[in-house]
Parts: sequence; C-alpha cells; structure tokens
Amino acid sequence: MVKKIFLWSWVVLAFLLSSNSGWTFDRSELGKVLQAMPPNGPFWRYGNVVFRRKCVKAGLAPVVFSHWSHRTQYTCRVCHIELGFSMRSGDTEITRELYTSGKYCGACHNGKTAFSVQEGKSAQCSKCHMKDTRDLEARFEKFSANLPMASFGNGIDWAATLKEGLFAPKNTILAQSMNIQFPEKLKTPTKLGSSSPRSDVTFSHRDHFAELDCSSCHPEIFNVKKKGTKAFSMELNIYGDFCGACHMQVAFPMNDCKRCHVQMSNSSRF
Amino acid sequence: MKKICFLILLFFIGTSITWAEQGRKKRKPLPYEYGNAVINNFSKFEGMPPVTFDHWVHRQYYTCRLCHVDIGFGMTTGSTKITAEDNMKGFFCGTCHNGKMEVNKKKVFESCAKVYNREDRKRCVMCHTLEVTPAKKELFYKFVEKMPKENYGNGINWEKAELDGLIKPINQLQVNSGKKFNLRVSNDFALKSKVDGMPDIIFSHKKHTVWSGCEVCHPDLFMGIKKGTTKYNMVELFEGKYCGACHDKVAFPQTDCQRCHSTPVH
Repeated sequence: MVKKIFLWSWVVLAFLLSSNSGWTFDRSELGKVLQAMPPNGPFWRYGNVVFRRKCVKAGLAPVVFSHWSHRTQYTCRVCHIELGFSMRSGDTEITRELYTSGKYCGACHNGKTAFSVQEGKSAQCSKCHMKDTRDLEARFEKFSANLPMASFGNGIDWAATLKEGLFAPKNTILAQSMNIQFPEKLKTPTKLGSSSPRSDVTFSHRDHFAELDCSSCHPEIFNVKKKGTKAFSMELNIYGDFCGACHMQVAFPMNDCKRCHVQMSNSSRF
Repeated sequence: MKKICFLILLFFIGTSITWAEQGRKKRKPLPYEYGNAVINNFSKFEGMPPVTFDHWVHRQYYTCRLCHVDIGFGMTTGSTKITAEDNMKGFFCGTCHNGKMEVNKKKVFESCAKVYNREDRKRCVMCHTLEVTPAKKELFYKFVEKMPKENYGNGINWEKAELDGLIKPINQLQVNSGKKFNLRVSNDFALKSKVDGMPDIIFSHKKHTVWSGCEVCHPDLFMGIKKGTTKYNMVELFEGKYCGACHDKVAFPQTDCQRCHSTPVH
C-alpha cells in the first residue's frame, strides 16, 4: 500500500513537471527559443513573431512580424497597452475584419501613418504575408549597418540607440493620454540580491518605465508587496517567467548575462 | 509512512501551484470577453452547456445595483446558485427574461422551460453556450463603434458613455423596488497614496452611485461610517478585496493605474 502511494506521488509529480502548468514554455518551446536566439540563430530573426495557423487556413503566406522594425517608432506600451496586443503570440485573435476596420495593426497601417492594410490597387499584402524572408533580411542588413553593435539579441544595442538619440520612439498614439507621474521613490535603482553576491542585479525602474506601464509587470509578474515575489529564480526566468516574459524573446536576451549582473567576471567562475 | 507519503504529495502539488501563480502574465481577456461570467452550477447535470453571461450586454440597459441588489445576484461567479426553476418562477434572470418585458420596444426573450422543442432550444443556447459565438462578437464590435474608446477592459469607457447619454441605464424596476427617494450623494475625496510620489487617488462618490447606489459597497466592502475606518492596501485590492470586488472583474481593471491615481504631483 505504502509503495503504491509512493509510486502515485511520483506519477503525479512527473505529470506536474511535464504538463505546462509549471512553466511558461515547455521544454520543446524553450528549445525553439534557444535555437532562434543568437548566436545560435541569425540577428534578424530575434524578436520576430510568425503567425502561421490562420494565414495558411486563409490561403495566405504567414505573417512575419518583426519587433525591430516597430520599436524604433513606438515604445512597447503603445502596442501592448494602447492597442491591446497580448504579450504571447496567438492570444490576441487578430482577424482580417478587425485590422481592416482600424483595430490592432490597422490602427497605424491605415495608409497615413504606415502602409495600408486595405484591399485595392495599391494593396501590399506581401509586406506582411511573406512567402520568403529574403527581403526582410536585406532590410535588416541595411537598417542595422550603422547602429551600435551588441553581440546578443538583434546584434543592436537598443539602449545605446536611445541614449545617443538615434531613435525617439513615441510613447502614445492617443490624442489625449494620461501618463502617470513617475514616483520619486522609484528613481533610484533597486538592488536585487542573487545567490552569488558579486553578481547582484541593479534594476532600474526608470529604464523600464520609459517603455512600459506599471501594469505591464505589476501585479501579475511581480507582486507589489515587499518581498512578495517568491520563487524568483534564474531557471524560471529562462523558462519565460518573471524577467523572461520579455527578456527571452524581444528585449535583450538573458544570455547577455552582464547586462543585468554587471559585476560578473569574464571567467566562467563567478 | 502513509501519512508521510501523502504529505510529500501535498507538498509537490502545493509548490507546483505556487509556481504556476507566480511571475507569469495571465492571458489578457479579449474586449468581448472582459466581464463575462461562465456559470456552471447545474447546467452540466442537465446536459446543457454552461451559461455565459456577458456584462457588456446588460450594463447598457441597467445599472449594477438593479441586478446585484434589487434582484439579488451575488458578486462572485456561481455564488447565487440559480436554478431553471427560479428563473421560471420569475426570480433572478426570470425577473426580466419572462417573455413579457420590453426593452426599446423589443421583447426580452423568455428564460428556461421545463419542456422544450427544437425551436425553443434556439432560445436556450442564447445563454447556454460554451463560447462567444461569431454573431455575438459581431454584435459587440458594432456596439463598440458607437461608444467612447478606452484601452482597458471592454475597450469602452462606460463612465463617459453614461455621462454623454449614449447609454441610459435604468436603476429601478417598478415591480421590485417601488419608488424610492434618492439619498444625497457624498462629496468626492482624495485618498493618500502610500508610496512616496505616487499620485493620490481621487475617489468620486458621484461616479460610483450612478451605477452602484450605496448598497453595493456599504457596509460589506467599506464600513462607510467615517473616512479611514476601513484600512486596505493595493495587495488586498489585487486579491479581489475592497475595490477589487468590481475593478478587474467587470468595472475597469486595476491595471489602468491612472484612472484612480489621478492627482498631479507637484
């Protein structure tokens, strides 16, 4: 009897670990993410989202959305808060009716701000519905040529581009936008301890607030209660929880260790 | 030994649940899903799909307090334990969905029946549906077109819609409440924020009483005798207490920080 219960407890444990309830990515999804992430994959592909299922059903080539071409113009919050795009691909359920009536992509792709999504003589379907990505690759090559270099992510040091004023992304597209005042208390960077004291992280609320709203992270990803965030580990980050919600797929990836763990030494022993 | 194994099992389940809760962005409800309640207390036993109740349809015509106070619906999904029998006798949904009442000169369809044929069943599935039907989605987007826009929730600024007279929610049903006189509405007041430099909250009694009267909040959620009697913080609000009883579920979500934290910082 005891043996039986013991066996069952292992079965349940194995189920819990293998099912998606434990992690944001399962192992195969993480595998795909790691495969695409430079240096394993090319720079131009990092941060791209491919919408395949519905497009193929409609007899169209899949949509390849590149974050790199959009983030020069707009901050994250414009699309992910104001336009209502989810943070996980496939959750937003964008349909043709919706974007042609000015929602989601159609909010900017209206022929005025950016090329139009409407049908007609000047229809440019293939700009998003790509049969192959050669054109996109060529555009990236040209785009990234003179930008500050990084070895990770897109191969572009996005933070430096902002600091040098190469891009000034708009923070809102609404006529009237109420933006919350940035609290004084949060202006000094927060120190986050790690298990190795020399690799502590200095977290800047200000840098994140420049692109996001409070509600992008609070309270779902990080609690607002002091010490309220439990089980926050590097492993969970890599599987797409906590920081990994953005810093595995779009924001600079986590193989760029020293971006956060500033004092980490170059040798493998830290 | 058995007990120990059981405890180990409980521990594993417990930790896996805490993992699942932490550090993850939840799926954002789509505009037509926000405020929907899926009620499945008895439907499954009767071989019916659960009831998907959409707040956006109903709040165009009625205030919150009409259903949640006068008719007696609870504030959490499934807590009222409504039966088909109740509806047929004219309680809960049946108060309006009785086949007699009219809204904008259109008859409100009758809810629930003991016996029904193929034709009647089309009426059943107006509420008993597993998912939002394409027709309903279309109806929603048509309705949104006319309404003031908003980033959060349904994508509709309900407060402005009511203020501009685009919707005129009815606050009392003659049969239920009779005629009551209105109490004087208390003034707006500021709630001091606990984080330094975080804008203070302006709480408007007026904006709330339009929808909720006094009874939805007082005295259950807030004692309401004297300012400061009820103590609460953001963590509790996020757990669905106090303001969180409505805001995040049906009223605009708490992630719309600026809607409440609206005093400019000097």
